[in-house]
Amino acid sequence: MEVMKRVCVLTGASGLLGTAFIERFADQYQIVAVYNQNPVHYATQEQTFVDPLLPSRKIPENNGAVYSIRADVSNPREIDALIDEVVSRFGRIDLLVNAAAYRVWSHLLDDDAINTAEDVLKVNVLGPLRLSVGIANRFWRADPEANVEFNRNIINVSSTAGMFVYPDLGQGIYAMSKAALINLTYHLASDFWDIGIRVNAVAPDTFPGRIPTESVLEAINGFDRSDATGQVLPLYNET
Amino acid sequence: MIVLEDILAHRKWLRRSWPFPHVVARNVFKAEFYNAMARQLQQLLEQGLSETPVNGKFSRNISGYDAYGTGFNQAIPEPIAVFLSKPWRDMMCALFGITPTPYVFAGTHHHTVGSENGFIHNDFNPVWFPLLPGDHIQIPNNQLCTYKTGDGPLKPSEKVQVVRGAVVIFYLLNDGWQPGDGGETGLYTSARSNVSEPALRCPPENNSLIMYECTPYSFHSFVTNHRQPRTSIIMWVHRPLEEAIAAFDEAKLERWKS
Repeated sequence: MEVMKRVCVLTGASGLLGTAFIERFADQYQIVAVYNQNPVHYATQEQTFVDPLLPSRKIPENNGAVYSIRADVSNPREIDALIDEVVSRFGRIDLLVNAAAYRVWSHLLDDDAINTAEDVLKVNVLGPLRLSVGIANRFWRADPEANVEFNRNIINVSSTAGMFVYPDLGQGIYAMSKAALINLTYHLASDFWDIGIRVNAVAPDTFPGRIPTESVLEAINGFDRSDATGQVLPLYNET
Repeated sequence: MIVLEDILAHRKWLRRSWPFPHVVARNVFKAEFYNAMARQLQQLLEQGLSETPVNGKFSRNISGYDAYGTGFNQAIPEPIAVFLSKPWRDMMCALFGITPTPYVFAGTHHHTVGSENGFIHNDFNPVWFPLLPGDHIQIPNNQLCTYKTGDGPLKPSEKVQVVRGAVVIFYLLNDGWQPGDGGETGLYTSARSNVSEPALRCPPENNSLIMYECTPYSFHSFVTNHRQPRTSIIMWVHRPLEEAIAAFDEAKLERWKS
């Protein structure tokens, strides 16, 4: 009998972390890979791996293809459509990884700095909020016992920039959004407790430059396998 | 002798169908090979940019296109020479079901910061080469036979008209490119699309490529680069004229405008 994989909705799926997550966990989850501008770099319902030197060769990863959906997480209507599509296609959502991020580096006194703040907050904070609440209202609230049984949870990808000040790097607006995401994580954990949904966050330093991307993946997977909620895990080297 | 198995970093490229069939790959060549290729092209770039056509130097040589370019000839050493090799040609032809011919064009494009959008086109163009018996790679020779028109001293029996069959754009020297920087190759559903709003953007990440069959529907364009220059190697394989007509109809051929 085929065992249904847990359904994981991953935003930011074409980014560095999203790509690494898919490559590592495509055989573990039924991943719904949410991308905006650039398509995901993995086999999906719309694209397949091909061997350039032997195009007819069968590539095993094509069988574990992820399901990709283009959606702008800063757009509430596209979030609603995304949730509808996932629920109607898979009938369940077991894990939500909010990895989409909009990064803008600028000194707060630069001419356009403040004008970017709204877009950054829409993607980095309001996107995870709307997606979490939207899935809860559309699906999770109906059956809290099933949520506990299937260990359903949300993992937000924040940053050490949301915890510490790195001077003179132009991180002000980005750091503000990641700090907000950390606090949102705590409140989501509190408000989703009664419906059996756990909520945690990882807060990595720059990857893969200062910490390995693999460490971030391990932390996400660790939260999914745990029973923790309301926790934020900073990931950085002490040295 | 170039052996692709020895220089490709992996053999899992992605074949996509939308907005038209194409293949993309990241981390194309092994690091040592890619780094050597980047150094080789950097040396060419360090010779400067010319506002008038100069052989062997990045020059403004493409009318209506905000870029500096130069073509490669068979004297170009490895690693760039891989793009003028039979194994590379054969790989591209096999990926798209194109009959290989000896006729190949390879060169490089460089867009300085703020280069204007290109124009949406499909590359389904007929072109001319000196006829070459056998299966040695033949590049254009404008002294004998102009690439776009076939004009030149050769007799009709000494030249051949073929059609661009497939193209590869390989990105390099674009260190630090990030989403939002522009400089992508935009893919479109129609020639009438807004060039600033591609259906899909192919990012110019180092050591990555996009490849597609040139058809009446392979609409693409360079998208303006806001933050840093964009550099690429571009190469076409060519298919027999009869094959292109049989596949897509002669009326669909994009003949060069004089």
